[in-house]
Amino acid sequence: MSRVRDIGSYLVGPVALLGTWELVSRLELVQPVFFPPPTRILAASTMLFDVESGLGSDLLVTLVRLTTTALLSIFLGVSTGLAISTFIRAARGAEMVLSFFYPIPAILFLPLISFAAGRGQAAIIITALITPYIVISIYTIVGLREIDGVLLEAGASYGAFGWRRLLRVLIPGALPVIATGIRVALGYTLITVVATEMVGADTGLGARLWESWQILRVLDMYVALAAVAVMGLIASVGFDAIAKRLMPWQVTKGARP
Amino acid sequence: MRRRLDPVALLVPVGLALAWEVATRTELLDPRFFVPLTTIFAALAELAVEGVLWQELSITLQRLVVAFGAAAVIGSILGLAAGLWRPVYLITQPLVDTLYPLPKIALLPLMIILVGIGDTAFILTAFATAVFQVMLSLSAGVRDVQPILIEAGRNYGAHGWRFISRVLIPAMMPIVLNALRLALGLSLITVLAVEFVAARSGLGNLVNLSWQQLQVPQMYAGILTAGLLGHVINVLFRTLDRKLMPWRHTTDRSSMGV
Repeated sequence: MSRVRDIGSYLVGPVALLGTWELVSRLELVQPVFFPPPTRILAASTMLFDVESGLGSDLLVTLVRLTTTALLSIFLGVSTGLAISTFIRAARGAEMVLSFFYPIPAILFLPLISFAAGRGQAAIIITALITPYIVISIYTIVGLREIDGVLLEAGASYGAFGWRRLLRVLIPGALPVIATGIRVALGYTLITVVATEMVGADTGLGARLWESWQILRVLDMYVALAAVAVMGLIASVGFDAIAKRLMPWQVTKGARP
Repeated sequence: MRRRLDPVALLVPVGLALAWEVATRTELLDPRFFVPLTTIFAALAELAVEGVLWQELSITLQRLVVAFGAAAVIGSILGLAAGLWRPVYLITQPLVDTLYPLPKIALLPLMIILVGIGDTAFILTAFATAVFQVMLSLSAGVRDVQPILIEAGRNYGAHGWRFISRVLIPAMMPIVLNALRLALGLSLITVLAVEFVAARSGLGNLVNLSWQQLQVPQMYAGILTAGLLGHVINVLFRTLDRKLMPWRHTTDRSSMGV
């Protein structure tokens, strides 16, 4: 009963906001050119599925870049974290290096990477990769360091060494922290891919967004913006659902970056 | 309280720096793009002496301070309100849930269309980054304050101002500081990215401009400064942490606050 009421009140804010927006736009209290009514944006959003002339192809390009970047950063980040952690005394030093690069916006590396890798798909993905990769590496190092010593000893006395130790003790032990890292990194992936597309690409939603203010295609901009927002929502909500299934023993708190 | 640094750990950054220096000096890496660290530092010194560095840095800092300051005030008020009163929470939460994961740099075109290309658009974009972070961390943080602290305070007879200054504020302090630290870091990233993309001034633009003029050492110097700025923020908050909350067992696991 209170749950129904909660969902009801959860809808009050957005409905009121969108309703007001619709009203002031329709009444032309604000310029409808800049604030088109939400219903018109919704109607226009079919262009997301129009691969020929609409935003369909850009949506696909961005989705491919996001998936590639996310998967690569998870694979490389976890591997780096594991590799560094085998040299326990060096791990702090490596962490220092990683956290020096962490607060630098990935996009600042775009020139350098375009020099080295040529302007193209590879440069975009490598640039977008930097921040998520660093985040996952650091979380992996921390996750491994925080594994309960008892677990390690138990593993050792039951004869888990080498690969078995890695797969049965280390990775499961560090998994909750790594999962938090991946969640944070997914958020960054969306940011870096869109930002890199804005300056460094001719295709993708980021490129369309950036183009839209120059040629004043406001409706396209809102649709692209809504698509990016939905991707962000899916990434965070979807990840929580998957994490809950994969690690039922762990109540992952929705850690945010 | 400070962890003593293991010399072996220090070998890693020093070794990497040396390897970079050697690889670039011997031109193992393409010397057009990969510049020795010493050359980068020389370029940084030159920018500092010429005054360009301070000028761009102060522009970036001004944008950062305005955006972050406004976000800290507005975000704290809304976040605290949402944490304390359920109706406010229910009304603001859907908005925060939707807008928090949205890359704020994607809002830049909208801001430019609305207010024209200029400082206002840049600051608004950075503000949007920080404000949702503050709101989210605070509203979640307030709900996590341990009721036992409040009860203990009450039982020991803390009321009125004493209750606020001795119980509530100390209990809230770590949450507020953490929220502000995250928000400041994020708005720095946004300010730099926005400058890189759209501005004609500031540190982010310096990097982009140096690239276009093929002044590679200068470009590296800009990136280096950006990294240092991020660290100044971290150090600042860690000092604040220690000064304001000496009672707290510092469990700072890494500079990221993981």
